Amino acid sequence: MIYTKKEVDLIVADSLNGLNYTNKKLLLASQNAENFDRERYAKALQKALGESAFNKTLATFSDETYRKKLLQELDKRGIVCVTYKSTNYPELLKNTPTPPLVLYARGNLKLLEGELFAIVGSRKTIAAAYEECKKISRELSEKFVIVTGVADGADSAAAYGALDSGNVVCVLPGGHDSNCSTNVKVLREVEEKGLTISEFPFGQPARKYTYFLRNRIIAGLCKGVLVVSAAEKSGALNTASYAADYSREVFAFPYSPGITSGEGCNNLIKNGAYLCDCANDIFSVFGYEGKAEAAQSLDKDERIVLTLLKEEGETHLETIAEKIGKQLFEVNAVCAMLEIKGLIVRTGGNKYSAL
Amino acid sequence: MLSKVTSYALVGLEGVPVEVETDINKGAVKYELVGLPDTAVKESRERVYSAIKNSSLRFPVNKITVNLAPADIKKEGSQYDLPIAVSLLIASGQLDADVEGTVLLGELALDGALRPVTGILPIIIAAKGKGFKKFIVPFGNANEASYIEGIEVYALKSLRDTYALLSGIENFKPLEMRSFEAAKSRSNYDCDLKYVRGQAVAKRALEIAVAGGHNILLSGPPGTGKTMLARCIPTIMPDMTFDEALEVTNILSVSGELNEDGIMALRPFRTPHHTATTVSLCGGGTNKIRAGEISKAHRGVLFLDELPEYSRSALEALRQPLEDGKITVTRVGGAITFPADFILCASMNPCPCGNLGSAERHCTCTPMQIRRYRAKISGPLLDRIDLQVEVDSVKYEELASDREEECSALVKKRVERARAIQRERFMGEDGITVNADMGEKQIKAFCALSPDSEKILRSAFERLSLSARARSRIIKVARTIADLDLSEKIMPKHVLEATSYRNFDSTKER
Repeated sequence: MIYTKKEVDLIVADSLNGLNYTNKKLLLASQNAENFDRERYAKALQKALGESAFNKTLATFSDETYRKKLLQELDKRGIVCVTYKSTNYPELLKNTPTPPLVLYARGNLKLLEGELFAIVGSRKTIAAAYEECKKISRELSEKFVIVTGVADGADSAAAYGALDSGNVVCVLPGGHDSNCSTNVKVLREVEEKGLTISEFPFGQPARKYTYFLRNRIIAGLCKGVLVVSAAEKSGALNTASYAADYSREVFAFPYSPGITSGEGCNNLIKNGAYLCDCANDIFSVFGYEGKAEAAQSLDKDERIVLTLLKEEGETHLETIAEKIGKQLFEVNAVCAMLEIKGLIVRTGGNKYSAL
Repeated sequence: MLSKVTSYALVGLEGVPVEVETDINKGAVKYELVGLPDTAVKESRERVYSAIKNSSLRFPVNKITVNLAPADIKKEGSQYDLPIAVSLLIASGQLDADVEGTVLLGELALDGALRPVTGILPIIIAAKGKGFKKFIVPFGNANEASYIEGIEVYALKSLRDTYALLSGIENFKPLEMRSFEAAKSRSNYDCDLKYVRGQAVAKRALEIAVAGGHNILLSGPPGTGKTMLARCIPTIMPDMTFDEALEVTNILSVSGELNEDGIMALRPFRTPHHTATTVSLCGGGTNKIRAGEISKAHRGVLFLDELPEYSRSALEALRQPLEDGKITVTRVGGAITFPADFILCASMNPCPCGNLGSAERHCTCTPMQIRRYRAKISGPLLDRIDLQVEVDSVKYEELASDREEECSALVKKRVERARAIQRERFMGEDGITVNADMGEKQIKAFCALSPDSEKILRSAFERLSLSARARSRIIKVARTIADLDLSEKIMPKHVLEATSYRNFDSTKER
């Protein structure tokens, strides 16, 4: 990969240890600003770091062998850097208050040029929401590039839904190759078919606070955020609040009362988020023509069971059998068929729920 | 004088004839027991000495040599006391009897009484095969010995009785044959499906499992009745034939776990605790190779409660016997094959806290914890479990309701019908009796799927993200469901129902 001088400066500055975001910016300014200002920035940095650290930092920064080694290592790991000064740096992210200086990316870089939409949620997501999320993600990925995290639960559902089209970007809470994901399977598949990006240099492990930093990138990259599931206190709500700060559209799944993993979503809707239960809700906000759902051909029994599930909500197999007056094993077959058709989902404990 | 008496040794489950030869010579007073005796056999000298003396007979005071032939088999156990005593009496000229063709077995008490020994049944069966017709066994073993036809068994109480019988002083009646049918009607299972409230899904799955000989995994929150359901499995299995009952009795007879009745008319239900070691499950031991729990569950049910709590090595050791229906235990002393043809029923919680999928309580586990918990059961083992069902918590109304639940006898009838169909189907196939035994070849031959069913199966795979190895499992189960439905062809609905028993395959990514 070939970078311009300015890009390399950014990559090197970002790689230095012991510098925070402000100091990195000062360092860059002290090297690249107009003659008159350089002194001032250098002084400010010196004051912030102290004499010896400042000198050491400057020495490393301008060390040619260090730079060469760093770029070689990035190339070897297949990581491409998109810097703040690069032409392909996402425009929306650039306009946020604290855009990352460098985005480390692995996979299909073209995806960053598309229209991005985020789907986030908590690790604990009930089966019905999980399947719904997968479905919506699949539909949305035809127009949008889906941005999500790499955790279990809703994040994985969003990623799996969008994987077929390849329009999926995962933003990592730690550097690449740092075991920052509990769902390694989804991470590998996204690296292969989509794109993974991170603000952190490779190998830097995820910490509690890096998840919050990561959330600002998810919100900043996208035109809108869909919150699939969130308890009263949840990381997904953090993403949503960033999205609101950046004036992005926020969508949330509605939940019936009493489901812990949905309280946060309901609160969002109370506070003015869009209620969303199908892909068209999102398409219409952005002025896209949604596709009408292709009607599936159902036989009589399947229709009866589906109607029942839609009316009653989550229902036990035995209850269904009792209500429609059929043998249990017959109902079992009908439900399996409906599940295969993607119209209902098994929610655990031999219960089914309509989507 | 020299005398020869026949007794029997057990090698695994096989009876091997042992000649007890006694020679009494003039010379220094000495008692020599040779022929690879173990400690229990060596100690027989003291028991025999006292028993003879206390039966008002005389223990010869000469140079005595007792040989247990063949000399290359290790002689274990206490059943040689009686034959040694009798051969001593004959050799010393106190007893004039023809003992050729008679098999003697029994442990002696110091007062001359006969104590029961283990493994009588396999010995009698083996000896009968060798042409022996007359047996003398301890009275305590009478029940066990009375089910075999065409032989003369004398169950005696003491050495004195034996002396009287052999010398012809007194007449004893041989044991009367007892019928297996009578034993069957005497014994009943203590549980019945009608006492299990609700759980229709799990009951249906049990019926399928038993009908096709499939192994089954029940997963559900604690206290939902998994154990109770499992205990009902033997009650819906077809009755054992006499030959099957003998196989089961053989194993229990050798391990000394036989009941009063002397024969196992009920299918065994074994529940080894989850601290069980590999050896206790599969069989083994340093001196004597003993049958493990899986062999004691032969023709019945092996129930592993809380499956993930068992040690990994113990579970992995089950893989081969699950496939072959027998296990060969190899030790320094030799290799012994035990039968182990059982239905495996396992139970587990859906997650470490146990509340996943429960309506009332909340699961506090993270997806990672759940994944780790489930990963304790390896893929290859899961491969051999065809049905994976959820058992859910029962509502109070159901517990309190008076609704009549179906009883085991009715379910058993349906199972027997489905088994009859399978017997006919696998007539020409060696070693295959039920659908679960089918290999790829038989699946090809007997489980043709119509294009419709094939299409459904394919979309099920894509939609429910089933693992590839679930395919033949689903087809085998679908075959059993079709058999229960008395349908020759596998219809789409059968395939559909079969796909619904694959809890573990589809929830993996979540």
